Amino acid sequence: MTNIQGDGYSVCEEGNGIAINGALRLNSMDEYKTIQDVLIEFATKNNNQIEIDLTRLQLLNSSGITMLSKFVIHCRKSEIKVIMKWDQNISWQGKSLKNLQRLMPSLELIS
Amino acid sequence: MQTENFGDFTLEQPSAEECLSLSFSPSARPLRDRWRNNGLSANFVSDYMTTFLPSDHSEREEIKTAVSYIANELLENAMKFCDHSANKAVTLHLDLEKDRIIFTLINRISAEQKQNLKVFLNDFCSMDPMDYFVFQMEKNAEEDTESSGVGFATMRNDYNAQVGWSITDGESPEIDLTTRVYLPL
Repeated sequence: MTNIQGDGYSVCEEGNGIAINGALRLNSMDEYKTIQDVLIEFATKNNNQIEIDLTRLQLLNSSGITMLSKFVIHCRKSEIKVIMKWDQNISWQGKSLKNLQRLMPSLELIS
Repeated sequence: MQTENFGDFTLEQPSAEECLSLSFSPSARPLRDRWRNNGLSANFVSDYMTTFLPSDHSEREEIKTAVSYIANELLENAMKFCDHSANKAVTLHLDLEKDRIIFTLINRISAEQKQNLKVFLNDFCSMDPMDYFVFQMEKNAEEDTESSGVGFATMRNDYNAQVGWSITDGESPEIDLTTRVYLPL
């Protein structure tokens, strides 16, 4: 079972997907690569589909937005189905996650 | 002394009701050791500034998130891209006006950093922010490189902020970069 515990954040395997929780402000794409690899590995093992639960992700910096963008472009090219669960009460999510649909029109956002 | 301005930079002095200034020593400790302080400082200025908004302001939480995001991005950029050999403080100043918050971040950069910055600014300032976001992300995925300017594109796209830069050449090799972000309330 995948489980990353960092300073103020966690990445955990939960049911049919991965939950990313806390405040995620890592300092480079190199540091985000571990999380991106976890997402890709899970999706590949899980019959090319993944549900990412962001409902407890309070903060994400621009490197984190870049990591999610790279991930959804990878999924678009590899025909992986992606569902992202988000929370309307966390204001950055509605804005930034909709931008990801520009990169992957089939991305499903559930609030 | 020579100054070049880019984007929505204006010289007007803010007519602030409240203000806050913080100084940082980016070269005193390794970047990794001080990284966490960017987020802590951003959350602090966000809490501090939103205290002065009317208690019934309908978008209080949204503004708090926006201030924290913008302050954190400005500090992260300054810590990454300042001239560490100059041993000069990075300053972050916030002004609260009636209908906007103005962020002013000043850091010293090297001649090489200035050239790279100007290449970025010429691209960034000539494109629609959403087009820039998509262009950068696709390029980044193709070339597996670190994309630049995503934080600024997000400020403009998601928070309707205006962003401007001013580069001032002093006595060689002193080059000061002022980055201003205007967040509407």
